[in-house]
Amino acid sequence: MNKDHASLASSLAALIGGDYVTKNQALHLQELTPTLIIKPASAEQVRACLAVCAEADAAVIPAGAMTWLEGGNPLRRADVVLSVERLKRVIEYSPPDLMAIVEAGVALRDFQAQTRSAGQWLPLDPAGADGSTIGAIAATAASGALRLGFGTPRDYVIGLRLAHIDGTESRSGGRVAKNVAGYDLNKLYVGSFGTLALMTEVNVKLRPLPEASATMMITAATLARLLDLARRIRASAVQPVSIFLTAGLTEHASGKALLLRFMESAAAVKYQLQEVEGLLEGEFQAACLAVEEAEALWKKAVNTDELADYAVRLSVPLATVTEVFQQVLTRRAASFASADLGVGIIRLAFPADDQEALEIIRDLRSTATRVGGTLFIEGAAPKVKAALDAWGEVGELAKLMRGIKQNFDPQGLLSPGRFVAGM
Amino acid sequence: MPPIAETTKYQRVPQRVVDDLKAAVGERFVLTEPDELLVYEADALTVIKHLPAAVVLPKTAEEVSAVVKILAAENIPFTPRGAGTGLTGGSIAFNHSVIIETARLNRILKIDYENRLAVVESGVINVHLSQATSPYGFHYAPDPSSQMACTIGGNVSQNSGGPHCLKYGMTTNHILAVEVVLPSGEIVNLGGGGVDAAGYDLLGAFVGSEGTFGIVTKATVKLTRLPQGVKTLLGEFMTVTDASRSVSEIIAAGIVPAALEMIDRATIIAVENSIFAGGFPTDVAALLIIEIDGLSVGIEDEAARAVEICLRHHARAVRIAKDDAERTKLWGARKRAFGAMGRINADLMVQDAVIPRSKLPEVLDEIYAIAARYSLNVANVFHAGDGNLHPNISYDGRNADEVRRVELASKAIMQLCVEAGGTITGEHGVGADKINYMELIFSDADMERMLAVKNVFNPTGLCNPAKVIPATKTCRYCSFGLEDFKKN
Repeated sequence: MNKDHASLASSLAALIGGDYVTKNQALHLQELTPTLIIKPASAEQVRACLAVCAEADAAVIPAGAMTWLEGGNPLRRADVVLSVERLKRVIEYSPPDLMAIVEAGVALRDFQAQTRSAGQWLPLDPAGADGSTIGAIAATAASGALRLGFGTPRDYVIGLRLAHIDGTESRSGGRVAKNVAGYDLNKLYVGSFGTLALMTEVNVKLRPLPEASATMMITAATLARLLDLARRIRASAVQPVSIFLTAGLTEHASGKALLLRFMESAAAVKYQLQEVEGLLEGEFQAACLAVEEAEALWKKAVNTDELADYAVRLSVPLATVTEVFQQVLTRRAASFASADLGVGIIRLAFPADDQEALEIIRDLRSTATRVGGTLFIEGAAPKVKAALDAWGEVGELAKLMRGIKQNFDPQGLLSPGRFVAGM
Repeated sequence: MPPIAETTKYQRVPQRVVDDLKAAVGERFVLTEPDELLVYEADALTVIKHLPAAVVLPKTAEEVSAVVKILAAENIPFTPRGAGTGLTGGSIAFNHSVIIETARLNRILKIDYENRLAVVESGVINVHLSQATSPYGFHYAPDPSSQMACTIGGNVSQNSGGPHCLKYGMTTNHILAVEVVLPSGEIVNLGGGGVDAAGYDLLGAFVGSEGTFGIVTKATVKLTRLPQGVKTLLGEFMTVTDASRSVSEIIAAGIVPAALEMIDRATIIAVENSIFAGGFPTDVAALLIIEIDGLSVGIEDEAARAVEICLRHHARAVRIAKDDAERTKLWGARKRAFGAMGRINADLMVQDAVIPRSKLPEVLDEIYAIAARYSLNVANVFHAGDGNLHPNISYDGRNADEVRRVELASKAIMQLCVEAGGTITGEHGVGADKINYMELIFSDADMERMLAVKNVFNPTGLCNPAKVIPATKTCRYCSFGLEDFKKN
């Protein structure tokens, strides 16, 4: 930073009011303590704040509900945390067009409540979804248990309004779902973890709410039986929107459960439940869960990182997911884990001391890499985070990615160090 | 029909470069004689014609890379081309560029049902992949109307759509990884091939970059299970308004049809007078093809609800295709509508705007009014379910006055769609044809960000010059901006 804190704070206060520029003492991001937390109220204010920060050469950490501030690698610098939590207007919601334009600080929970009354929803349920803002969900491209049936934020963000570090503003995409005008920059911003620009508005497409939803939990004496059943279900006519295998998340003797969820017309849901029942011979116990119980369990299955200090997420080719899951469980028997058998994502949380954790994560990453997959570190002690890259290697693509970063943030001020390849 | 500066920089490729190219791909696969090049002077947008300096037909990614390196070293621009079915001139060889055609990269390399993916070379024809996988209960879902001819590499470049994108998504939703030759000649792989890749979504940015970020040589694509049941309905309407109100209401009712297409009377007549006749009634104002698919148990109810909505909006009748043969015939006629229209007159102006679905009734009324104002015949055949309009105007390109009226009407229609909250292209791309419409929806700042990405992939601007972003947009990242354009 080339400006003292007090003068940066007063320049920002002049833009957005002194009440929304706070000197920070309590918030620590790993070893760093950002100087200021600012909360602009509009896209224009965000843009103006960025220009001031850039001029002061202050590193800016974009935030929504402040739940993902420590995601990715440890930040190299953090001067100003810029929260968009006051940008929480739903600017437009057009139910007949299944489209909405929301400010980035709108909480998913609040937005869902609004769309539900029109019989629609944004079918995303990423980890921590309850309080998460739509801006953060887009910035992290986070997906959850609904991914098999409905996809990821990348499939739902159809347009963005962005504030750039140089104080300019741009838009990408548009207001209609089908749109190939110009380059699809939505895709680049989504999942860029606040390293390219700040999202101030997000245009999303919506889906009709399914008429019915049912979650079935199946248990058996051995993991092998559940895996075999899952394979037969996948080969049958039924189309679950979620199919997970969990370990340590339910109260059964084996600790393992197969979770299935169907969302469609009532008739189609009923048919599929019957089809699955037809595949069960005596050795399985199956039950349909009550709504609250089901919701809690699905939440647990994607929020494994809340269950222990260490949490990783593996993404592996579909055909290897059961094999890798078994290896994961063997490597770390007493832990909390879920495997999305329809997508190839394994989430694992475990308690460990630093040294042990380091070894486990290294092991798991090499397991993932061996089958052509990746491993992302969701939670770890600072020492371990410092020793391992949260994302893994990007190899030959680092050059292109750095080129893009350079053109969007030449001073390297947006979340420096958090992303891949030291960006 | 944008004015494109005729450039003179490269009249012919120097003989030593031709020799190098021939050494790289084989004597037979480098075309340099004007009569051989004539086929390549345009794509399916026939109104803009530019003779390429040469055409090279490599067989492998390594050959593509070698060709690109030879041309880049000589500062000769090059334009990728698949089957040349693009409707916006995306593969026209501006600036006397050399066309690199991927048609010979035509092998399906792997079909992996367990991982639900296939790996294909970029020249594989779209429909061939579905033909190969359908006996096993899978298909490649994106189905552009040109799927009998277009290549998957071309689809990736254009982010192609098709009738069934309403439910299944565009090409971008079905591509898991691509191997591309960058404009530097370097071969890179983008995307995780089915797993979450770390870093920026370069794959997502590449899909739809219209050959300006590099040349696709291989694609890993999703295979989708064929639906258990399909019901195809044909709704007959005496007014276009009734048909479009039905569309809006079907979507608003929470039904997600696999496809929801509208065909107006002008199109019906063109189709029924052609060899592609689908048995459509010719005495109606509009037809809706409504396809519902999914589990057999679920589609009965959805189809019944769709029928009920059509009847409430005064449909004269709603027919249900009785078997696969009838269904295939309906779709065959629909997908060849552009071809049938091409017979009406010498030239066809194809539009591809998208509007919010709820605006369909009034926008369609206004489109017919605009056509009438300019004494033109407009035929609408389009993906009504996602508001993707194709108002097509047949005209005679030799009639200067008519050409002028077509241009004015096209611009008026485009402005109408943009003002309704829509976009200038839903699936055909910008290419050369829509390039001057870009500023209707994007500001200079928006396009500058696009160029900031393009210039990372294509810093010299040699790969597919003068496409997508108007060259008049000066930009601080630009290495091939207005100045270079003028110099040429």
